Formats: sequence, C-alpha cells, structure tokens
Amino acid sequence: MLKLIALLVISVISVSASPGVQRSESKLRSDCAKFVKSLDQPMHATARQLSGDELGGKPDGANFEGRPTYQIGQLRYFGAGVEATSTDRRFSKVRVFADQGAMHDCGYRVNFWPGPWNMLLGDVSSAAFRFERGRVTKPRTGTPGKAPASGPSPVITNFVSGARWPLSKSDGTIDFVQLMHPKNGSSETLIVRLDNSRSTVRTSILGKLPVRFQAIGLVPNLHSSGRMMNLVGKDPNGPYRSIVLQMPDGV
Amino acid sequence: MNLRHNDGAPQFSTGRWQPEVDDTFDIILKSSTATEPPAGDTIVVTGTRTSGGGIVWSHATGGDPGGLTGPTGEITPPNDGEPPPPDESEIIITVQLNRTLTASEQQVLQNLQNAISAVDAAIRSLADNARITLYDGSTVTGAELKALWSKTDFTVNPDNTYYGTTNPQNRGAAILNGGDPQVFVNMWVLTDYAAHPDNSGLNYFVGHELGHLTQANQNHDGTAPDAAMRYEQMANDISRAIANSAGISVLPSEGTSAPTYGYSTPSALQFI
Repeated sequence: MLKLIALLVISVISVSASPGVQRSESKLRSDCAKFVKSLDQPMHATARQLSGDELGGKPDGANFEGRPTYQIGQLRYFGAGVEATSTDRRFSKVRVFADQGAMHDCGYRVNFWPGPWNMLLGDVSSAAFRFERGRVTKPRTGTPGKAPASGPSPVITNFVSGARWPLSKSDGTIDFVQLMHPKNGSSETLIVRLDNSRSTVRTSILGKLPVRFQAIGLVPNLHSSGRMMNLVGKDPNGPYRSIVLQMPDGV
Repeated sequence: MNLRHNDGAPQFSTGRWQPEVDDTFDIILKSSTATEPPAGDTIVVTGTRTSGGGIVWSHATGGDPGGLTGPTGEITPPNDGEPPPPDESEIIITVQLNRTLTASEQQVLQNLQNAISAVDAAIRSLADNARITLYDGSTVTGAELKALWSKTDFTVNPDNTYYGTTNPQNRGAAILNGGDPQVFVNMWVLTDYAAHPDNSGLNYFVGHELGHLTQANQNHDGTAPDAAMRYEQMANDISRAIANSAGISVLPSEGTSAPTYGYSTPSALQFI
C-alpha cells in the first residue's frame, strides 16, 4: 500500500513539474539571487516629457498651470507625462501590473523618478528606477486597481477588461473607471466609466490612448476641477510611461 | 482625547468613536441639505490673505491665484460664529452630513480617524528642534508643527459644500482661524483618498493640510513662476516628511497613487 502511495506521489510530481519547468524555475531562482544583490543599485534612465500629440490629444485652447491642454476624449492632458527607458539589463524584467504597478519579475516593486508632475517643471535630471526592498510575495487582495473577478464588467467588442479603480459619488455610491485593452494585443488603451447606479450598468468611453497603460489610480484634485487620473504602463521591451490626465467634474 | 458633541452633530476624537451602519448624521447647518446648502449657510470668503496669521488656502489654482496673492478671505466657521472650543488636548472631527452614511463611508471616517492618530503620533515624536529644509531654503520645525497640530480640528462636509468666492470649489480648505486651525473637507474627497493602499491617501491628506498651515507655506512667493505648483508640492513634501519620520504610509512620488502636483525630491525630506 505504501509503495502504491509513493508511486502516485512520484507520478504527481512528474506531471506538475516537468524537467523543462524545473530548469526554468531553477534559472529564475538563480537569476533572482543575483538580482537581489543589486537591489540597492538604481537603474539609470533617460526620461522625456510626453507630448499631447503622442497621446492622441487635440489642443483645446485651454490651459492648466499655464500649460496648453489637449483633449483626449472627455479627459485632458496638460503635459504631466513622462516616458523613460534604461539600458540596464534589469529593465527588460520590469512589468506593470494592474494591482501592483511596476514590478520586477523577481517580485520587487519599482519606483521611478522624476514623476510626471516634475515634467511640468522640466526636471528630467537624475532619472532612475529604484527597487523597493521587501519582496512582494503575493498579490494584494481587495486593493483597488485590480480588475475584479466578479461584478459588472464592460463589454466592448474586441477589447478585454483591465485595471479598475473606484469612483466615489456624492450620494455615497461608487462607480468605476476601468482600462480596456485590444484582444489582438496592440498597444492601445480605452478608458471607460462604469455607471453602477442603475439597474443596468452603463459604460461610457472616456478616452482612447494610442499606447498601453496597465495600471490606473485616481486622486482628488484639490486645486481645480475634477480628479486626477494616474496611468502607468510599459510595453514588453518598450519604454515605461507614467501620465496624469484631468478628469473634469461631471465626467 | 475625548468624544465630544456639539449641537447634536456627531463629533469624535481619535480612539473612541465607532461608526454604526445605521447612524444618521445631522448637520450643524440645520437648514442645509446635502446637495444644495442655502445661501445663508454657505461658507463665506472675504478679505485678504495675510502671512503669519488669518487665512491659508490650500486650493489655489494657476488660473486664479486667489489663494496665493489676491483676496482670499476668511471662512466663517460652520457653527455660525460660535467660538471654537479650546481643544489643545483634543482633535475633533465634526461630520456634517444629513444623510445616512454608507458602510464604506463609515469605514472611510474610521480610516480618517486612524490617519489622524498616526499623524498625531508622528508629530508628537518629533523633537522640538527637529527640522526639514524645503526646496526654497525655508524650514519647518517640530515645534512649529506641534503648535499648529495641537489646535487643529477637522470638519467633514457634504459633497456640494463650496469654499471660496474668487475660486469657488467643492473640495475643502485649511485655515489658521486666528490660531485655532480648521481643516474642512468634503466627503467625496476623503472617499477618494481612502481608496489608496495602507491608508496612504488619508495619511497624506492630513499631513498635506497641516503643511499648508506652516509659516513656510504661507510665506511662499505667490508671484514666482509655477507658484501654485510649488506651493502645493511644498505641502506634499511636508506631509511626506512627517509620515516618513514615523514610518507610516503616504502617497508615493510616482505611479497610480501619486498625489496631485507630486513631490520636489525623489525621496522624503528628513527631519534632522
């Protein structure tokens, strides 16, 4: 009987971890061990301000903080956007997750400086990616930014749902803004709003961006109309992008 | 810190008040509604901003620099002129909503209370002579923060409460109020900040408004280029420095939770 159980166990192991997978995991562990030794070394980067044209915006004749604004659907871009690249080999292992933001494949969060707001001041000096100490061993749960597994979800032909963020309303109820990505994998992002207050959830498209953003967050705009929408993204083998869009009141 | 009540409006202080699901909050402005306060109850802004006393606005804009250089005025306290209570030993949060709060809003208020407690502990632990140096060379000391914080109270207003006449907006304000600082904020603003992980948004908010009350922020040169942005970044820098001194979460410099206007440095300013 014991022999039979042992055979079954060996059989399960051989199915769940083929030699190829074992080699891959072993290499990843080895690579990550090397990576951890370099945690304190920043990845030096080159950064530049993203223009409204690059984001598919159209000048609307208005301004924000004295900067011309661009209309992107119902949203506004005013120059708070940065694109950064690095020749550091670790950069290719950085990805942006809906719930964690920028992370290295070995499980460490990545912070970039200067942020998009600093682009308004023309500050691109000391551009670098830095790793947070403290490995993220499991995804957060219940954290905004992650597309929920359940609940209403927008249906737009040839697009799939991405990151989501709650949007509070004056009656205490919550709507959502959500990113959507083309099924064909092309670098494009739809930003939609889910109106959760009706029996039938309504979806409206707030804007369309010609580049990929995988993470979204909203912060109150204490200083002028609406909220500020933070978007972060990175194409595989492509640059890192972080932008701020103004989401006017009533949108 | 003790639970306090005033005119039937629920007020709570750190550590004691526990919201109940069915709580209904009366409004001090008794004739107001949540959606459209009557003109008589609208917070009035008149007068001139001074440095070192009186009025501090946290809501200047580039288009209308009212809070920086122009007339901004005083905000009439919402209890119709009654003198604010002497409260050096208390931090009072007055909730002025006249509708039943949702469960998530009640949690938001609990989280605000937690944020105030965390910032309170951070400020209390600062040495009086601890100081940070801001981007323009001005400084903020532990003693100044303690003095401001010791009298600062908070009021949560309905979402369509407006602040200001030269720059009316429906978000909030921080005022020195003759040495008895008051922070006003509308409910949706708190809810939005509360959506960020680890209470970082509300921790940030509390420190940011306190940052606006400091002398360095009041004395900021409102005529300088990018004045509004620098003015807000400075308040952000102060907020992050306070949080960092106690190891509490605060909105990061970049990413999906980055605060409006960002920070002036890659990492937090250090109290030395």
